[in-house]
Amino acid sequence: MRGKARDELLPPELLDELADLEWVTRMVARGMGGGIHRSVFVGAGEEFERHRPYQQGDDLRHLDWRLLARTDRAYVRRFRESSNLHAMIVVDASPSMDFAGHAGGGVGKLRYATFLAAALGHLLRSAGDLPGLLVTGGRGGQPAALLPPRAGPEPWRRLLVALDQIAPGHPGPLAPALETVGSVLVRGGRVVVLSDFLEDDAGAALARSAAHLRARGDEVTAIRILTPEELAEEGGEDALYHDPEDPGLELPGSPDRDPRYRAALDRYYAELARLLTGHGVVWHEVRTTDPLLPLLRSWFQPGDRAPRG
Amino acid sequence: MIELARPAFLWAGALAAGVPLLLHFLRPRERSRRALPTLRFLTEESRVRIHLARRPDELLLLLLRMALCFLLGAAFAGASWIGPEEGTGTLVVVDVGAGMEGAWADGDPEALRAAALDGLEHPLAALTLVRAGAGGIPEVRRLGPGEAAEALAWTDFRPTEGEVRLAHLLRALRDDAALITGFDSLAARVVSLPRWTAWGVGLPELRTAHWPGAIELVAPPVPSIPPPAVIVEWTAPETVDEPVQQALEVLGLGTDRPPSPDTLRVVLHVGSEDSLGELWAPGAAQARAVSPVEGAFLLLDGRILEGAGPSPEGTPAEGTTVPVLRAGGVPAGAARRAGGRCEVALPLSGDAGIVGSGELPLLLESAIAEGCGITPATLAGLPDDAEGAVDAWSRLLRGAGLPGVVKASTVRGEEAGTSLTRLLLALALLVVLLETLRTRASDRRRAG
Repeated sequence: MRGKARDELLPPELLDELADLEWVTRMVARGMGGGIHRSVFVGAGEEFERHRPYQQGDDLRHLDWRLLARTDRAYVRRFRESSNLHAMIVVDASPSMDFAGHAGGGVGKLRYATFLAAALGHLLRSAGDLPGLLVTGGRGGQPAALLPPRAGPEPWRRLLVALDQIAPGHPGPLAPALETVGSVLVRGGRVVVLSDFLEDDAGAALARSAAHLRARGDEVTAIRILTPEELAEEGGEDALYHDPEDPGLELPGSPDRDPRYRAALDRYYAELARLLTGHGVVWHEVRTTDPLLPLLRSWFQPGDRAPRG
Repeated sequence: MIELARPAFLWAGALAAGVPLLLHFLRPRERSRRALPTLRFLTEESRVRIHLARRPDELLLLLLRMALCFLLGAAFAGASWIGPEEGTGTLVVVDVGAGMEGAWADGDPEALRAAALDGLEHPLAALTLVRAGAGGIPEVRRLGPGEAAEALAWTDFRPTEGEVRLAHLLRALRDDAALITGFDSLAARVVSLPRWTAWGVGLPELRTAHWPGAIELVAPPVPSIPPPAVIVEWTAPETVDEPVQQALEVLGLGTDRPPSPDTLRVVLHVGSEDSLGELWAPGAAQARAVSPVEGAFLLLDGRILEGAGPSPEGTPAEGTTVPVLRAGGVPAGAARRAGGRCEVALPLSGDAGIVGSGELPLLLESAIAEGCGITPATLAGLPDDAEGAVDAWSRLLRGAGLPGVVKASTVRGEEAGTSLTRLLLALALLVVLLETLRTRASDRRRAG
């Protein structure tokens, strides 16, 4: 199972391509382990931070002898330590994510989110971070799967298996999922939400939960996933459409022939993005036809010290 | 411009084209049920728009079906393409039969010429003069714009020896209408003396000539109209009696006229049943009378006329014997076409229904009424004066249903019309092919 899930979600060629990418947080990491992020601790790291006048009791190993020889003043060198992060990947498995369009052959939003989550998890692990997973869609708003951030290959294996076994669950808002994340994630961690963000309250509760995470010092990234058909870019056909999360609601029509459909959709996501980014959430928009590797490269350039927002 | 021989078919095609349109909008939509997570953004407006604007392939299918109906209607409408308006060509048909000799000798030749050319205001100032040539073959002479009417000399109207039959002339010209080119309408101006015997013969034939245009009658102002003469030959002169004379009077014929080219020649075989031989036996005539050939022929002027009644055999061929019927279809005798004359066999005695020749007047009268299609009253009432005869003839022509003006292009455009019809049918087939291809492509798309 382990090999099958990993090979399917993370094929070797993708791993090769991802090898030089680094996802470095913009924040100061509070992790205890080694990583690529700047730590809140200053001391024995490798990255030079600043000079400080020598004080009694300072370790003489940190004294800048060259500066002392030139200026006859005693300064010690301060270094920034590198640390790792605890991260949670939230995958929305509500029924609305179980949609691949009607053209046939396309990847569904949930499956695309699975691939993207695996790739992001790999990048997190490469940076020394500890990835965890929360899959929404359980009964009563509970998570369908919850794997707290853990180090080691076995938790990673379980995470990949859980990703591979994701199935559409029950509809529900995303805000409770973020609250659950807040309860299992160490402060100053990283949260990635993969969803179509079709919230009943236009994302107001979601924005509040994201704001709470941000207030804790967590980095929150929201990745919106839609199909081209939902974006009215292709494949619209005159049919009787129904909402998978509300089967009783049916409307005849076609998205690509309704000029106000795309305007309403754009308006909804623009408002949601404004709400979230207002709280410091990083907002990305992808469609299920976007190739994964170019997408990741556009977010995380090799050697970049911070992801593009 | 496109002219239609049967416009009703075009209207029918246009109406039929509306049927697919009607079905397209009335047919209940068979929408597939599909999921759309972003359904909330679909507005009510899309419903209306979708209702009116179907998918492109459905619209294409609708247009193809409508085009198919319309093209089929247009194909059967006999559409023909004719060129731009070029005016009405007028064909001057001059009766140059021997009967016109009197007009030539006694009348005013210049007046006759003027009557022929009167009103020939042609936009192209062109004229086509047609006169009967040797053997009745029409001679067509065209005059260009520079020649015009003045180029016509009276000699063009000089009568010839022999007989000219106007109906035959017109029919021949109709069949050879390709000679009359350059016009989109064709009229015939017939210059002839209103001698009712000749016209009476020509009238029913003019009907069958189906001249595709207006026929204008021009009677030259001649002082007198010679009445027709008749020569009655009897195979049994001893049987000539009063009833025979009465019959001739019914027909308006007399026997005291000098022979002329228009003289009627009637051969009456009157005798006993035995003397007429086997062919003329009343029994044979009666047998033929109950055959499918019914009351269609009549002896009138020495020719077998094509009657108005149902005659699957048409004008009998030379030597063919047809029954002579009395009123009510009772067989009374037999007639045979022989050498341009009509020979009638009437038994004088026996059980055939005719005793002596006493019933001949009634026989001829009823046969005229039923077989020829010309009422005796009209024949009897035809005026002798030229003006009155022309009017009467014109009335008869109108009553006979001859068109006032029929586009000559109907004749000229027959070939073009045929090609247009073929083109329309080919387009209809192409439409069917396109629809078939579209349907198959759609099926493959669904299967894929």
